[in-house]
Amino acid sequence: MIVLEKLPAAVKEFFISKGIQPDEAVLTMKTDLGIDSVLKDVYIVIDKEKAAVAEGTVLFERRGFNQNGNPVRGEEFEAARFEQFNLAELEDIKVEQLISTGRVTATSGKEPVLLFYFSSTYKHDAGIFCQVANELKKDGKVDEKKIKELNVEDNTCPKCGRRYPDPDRKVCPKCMDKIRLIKKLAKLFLHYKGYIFLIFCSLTMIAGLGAITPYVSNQIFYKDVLAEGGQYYGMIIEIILVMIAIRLVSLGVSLINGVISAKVSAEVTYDMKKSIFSTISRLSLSFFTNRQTGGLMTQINHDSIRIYWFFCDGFPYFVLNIAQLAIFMIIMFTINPLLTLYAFVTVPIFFFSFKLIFLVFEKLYAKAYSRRRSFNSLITDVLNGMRVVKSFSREADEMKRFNKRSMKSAEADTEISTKAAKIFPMLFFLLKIGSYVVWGVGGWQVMMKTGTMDYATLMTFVAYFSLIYGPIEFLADISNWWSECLNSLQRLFEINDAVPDVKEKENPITLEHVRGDVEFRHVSFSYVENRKVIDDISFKVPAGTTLGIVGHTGAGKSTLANLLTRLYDVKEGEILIDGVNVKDLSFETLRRSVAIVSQETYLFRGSILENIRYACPEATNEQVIAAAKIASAHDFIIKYPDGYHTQIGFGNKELSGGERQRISIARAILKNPRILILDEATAAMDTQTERQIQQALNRLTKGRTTIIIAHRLSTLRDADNLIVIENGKMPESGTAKELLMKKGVYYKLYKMQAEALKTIGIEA
Amino acid sequence: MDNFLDLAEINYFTPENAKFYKTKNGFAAMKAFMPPIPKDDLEVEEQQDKTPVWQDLGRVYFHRMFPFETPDEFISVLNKDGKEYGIIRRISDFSGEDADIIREALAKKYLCPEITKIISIKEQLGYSYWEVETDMGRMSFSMQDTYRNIARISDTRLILTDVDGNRYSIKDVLALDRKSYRRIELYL
Repeated sequence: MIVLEKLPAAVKEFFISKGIQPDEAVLTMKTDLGIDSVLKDVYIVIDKEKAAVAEGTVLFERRGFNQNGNPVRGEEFEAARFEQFNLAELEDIKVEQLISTGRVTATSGKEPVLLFYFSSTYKHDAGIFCQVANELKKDGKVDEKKIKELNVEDNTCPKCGRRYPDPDRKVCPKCMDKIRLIKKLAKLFLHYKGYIFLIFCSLTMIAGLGAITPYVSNQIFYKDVLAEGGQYYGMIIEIILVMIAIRLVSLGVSLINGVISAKVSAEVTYDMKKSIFSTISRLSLSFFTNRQTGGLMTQINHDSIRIYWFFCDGFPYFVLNIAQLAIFMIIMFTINPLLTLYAFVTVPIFFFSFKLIFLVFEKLYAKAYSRRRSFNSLITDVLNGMRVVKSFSREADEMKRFNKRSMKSAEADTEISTKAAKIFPMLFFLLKIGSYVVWGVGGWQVMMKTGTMDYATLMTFVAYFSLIYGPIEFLADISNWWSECLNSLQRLFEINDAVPDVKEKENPITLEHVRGDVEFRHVSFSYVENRKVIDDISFKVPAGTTLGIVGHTGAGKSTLANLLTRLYDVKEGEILIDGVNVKDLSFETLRRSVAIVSQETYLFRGSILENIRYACPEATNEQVIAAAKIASAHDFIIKYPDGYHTQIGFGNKELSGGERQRISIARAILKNPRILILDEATAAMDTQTERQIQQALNRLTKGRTTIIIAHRLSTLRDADNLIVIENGKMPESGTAKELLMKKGVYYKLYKMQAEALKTIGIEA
Repeated sequence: MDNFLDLAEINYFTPENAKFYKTKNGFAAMKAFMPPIPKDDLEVEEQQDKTPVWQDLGRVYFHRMFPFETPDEFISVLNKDGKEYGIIRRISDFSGEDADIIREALAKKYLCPEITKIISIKEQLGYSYWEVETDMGRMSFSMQDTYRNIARISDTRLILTDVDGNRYSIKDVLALDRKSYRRIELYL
């Protein structure tokens, strides 16, 4: 029995009352949308012959109390719709995906039948429903293990019952406890404990010296040096020397602290970046397609700096400031408790208003940030598209657009500056009021000679009081960046916790020598739930032969290549290399024996030589030249002044599309793989160059398995076998001759391309 | 097993199949024992006879394939249109007059002042003005977008390109004197 959702007791009773035994069902599940487009609790049960749908509401009510006095809750199910479908009568049960919802439909006789609706939250469950129903119809039983594997695990948080926002990441943002985060943080902390200890030591010394200074320069100076009969009466030079000495020591310690911090900062940020980068590159390709590259870059740079900041600046200073504040307050209390109370009168008000003002500023900053971003994106957009702007002479309009956004951005910045200029001086004045109170009350106490108050003590007190502003401001500010830092940490751990979808099996099979037999067995794949890009495709490529894959753009041809190289994993079916499932093969075997030249050629910054050698860094210059020659790249490379050392990429030589493709073909050839995939690898070249490369490749591909993906049929003229892909399905396969005889899709494509040649006077 | 090296059909010149000479006016030229040169690209398709014969190729041009790593190895020998006749694996394979002709032609082609001392670098409005001592005497030049026009060939080797496209080389930036290094350090 497959339980996607456990039925509540009341629902169970309801089903039983309708003659269905949920306990013996094949599948129980739930969706959330009624057929009248109202959100409801929709429960679905499949038993051996029937699928039953009950829509309604589960009501909770209090039914008295138990003996402990806790309320006892009962539930009731009010059904608004109940329908049963005889599975035997239903044909073609499938999911129809709508924009943000979907429905499961079928046909009964010739009539379309509606089973139930669901919101996209339940799209996975709906897919499983269809699969279960279809398998039941076909075989009379369900392979529970297989479906359970598909469903992997429960997709709801065990704590709060909410669904995980990302099913691949079993983290509930609400319940993701801060404690876990802090535990992880502590682990990171321990990693740098040596440095942090050093920083603490130097900071403690600075704080201690800071606490002595006012005592020496006020209490001792006025009482013992200047006052007649003082302990050190008249020793002005000595006391000044002591003061200078204290200052010098504290200067020295700060110096050391500065040097350590600088060293640590470089080291920790470096470590952080390294660990973030290495975790990121470990992840599967789908992680990158789901996120923006720009975002990832910011993540690597900003977050590492922020986290460093927390470790080396934030946390030690936080402790230091708290300690300082405590010490100063204790000293002040021992000097004069009453005065201290007066002095701190305005501090809570300051804290409170600082928080309040920060909320305002946070909004202002967010506004300014988003405006600056939109302004920046306009600049990049226009500069990149300058060719288009100029060719349609839209410069004036772009200027207007620019001015408008620039103005908006400037307005937001001005708003921040003026607000800050108005508010902050007032705020700090509020804090300073305390010191006027101290002057007033203290002065009065000195005059009246109440308690122990004298001139020297007052001066000391004032000196200490002026020292507490720093810590107070710091502490008022800290909560803001604490939240920022938590954010960064959260993101960092998010990457850290992301599990690659494509994982190497434990104890994978390593093949010493790969022959190159490739087989696809009933392979299906979808990037998005319920939308199959590849639907039940099977074919075989015997070792040493060439397979051509034809089809329209977007038919799913490249996806086949992605699946073979395990950039993505198949959802159903299996792919075999030499009879071994690719999922069981070690990455090393797979990457060694399969090379792919894809339609998007990416060349790294660096020389042409480095780019060709990328897959095989130990290749000799002879091998590089030979590979370049086979790929027809040699001739254009030696036309550059620096030959193979020509630097390509940003700010240097830009290569044309065809040149880039030839370099990436050379890269693949140099790797000398058993299985070579050319995914539209020659699409950006003229026919003659393509022909040249093909002739060279023909010689190369002897005894090698080659898969060529193309929409230009001429590219495929040397293929031993062809398969045609259309809408993810494979309607035809065979040799070119057989396909032409069939007069199917291939014939149509052939006709069309031949017609195109005919119009310019060439008979194909 | 499948060695793609043979498939590439690279014609390496050796003293056995190549003889260099100078034209009347002192340009490099050569005779070679190699398959007949096809007249145009289309002919390659059905490549007639591949048996090598001695032929006079006339004037030839040399081009370093890996100018920074191995300047004296892998020299491409080209015709006037940049079509490659073959490759000289190592100049040292040749001796006497042959080697001299190749070396002389390459020296002419790759003439590039070697900076030995940087006297001053002044930066103004996006341009930098350089005053340097080279193995060809004292020179001054200006560079635009300085950072980008200094190519870092290796950790120590630099190639500077000035506003006119002239190149200046620094073989080992660490071997420069302290003052010179301080001046250029900014751009590294």
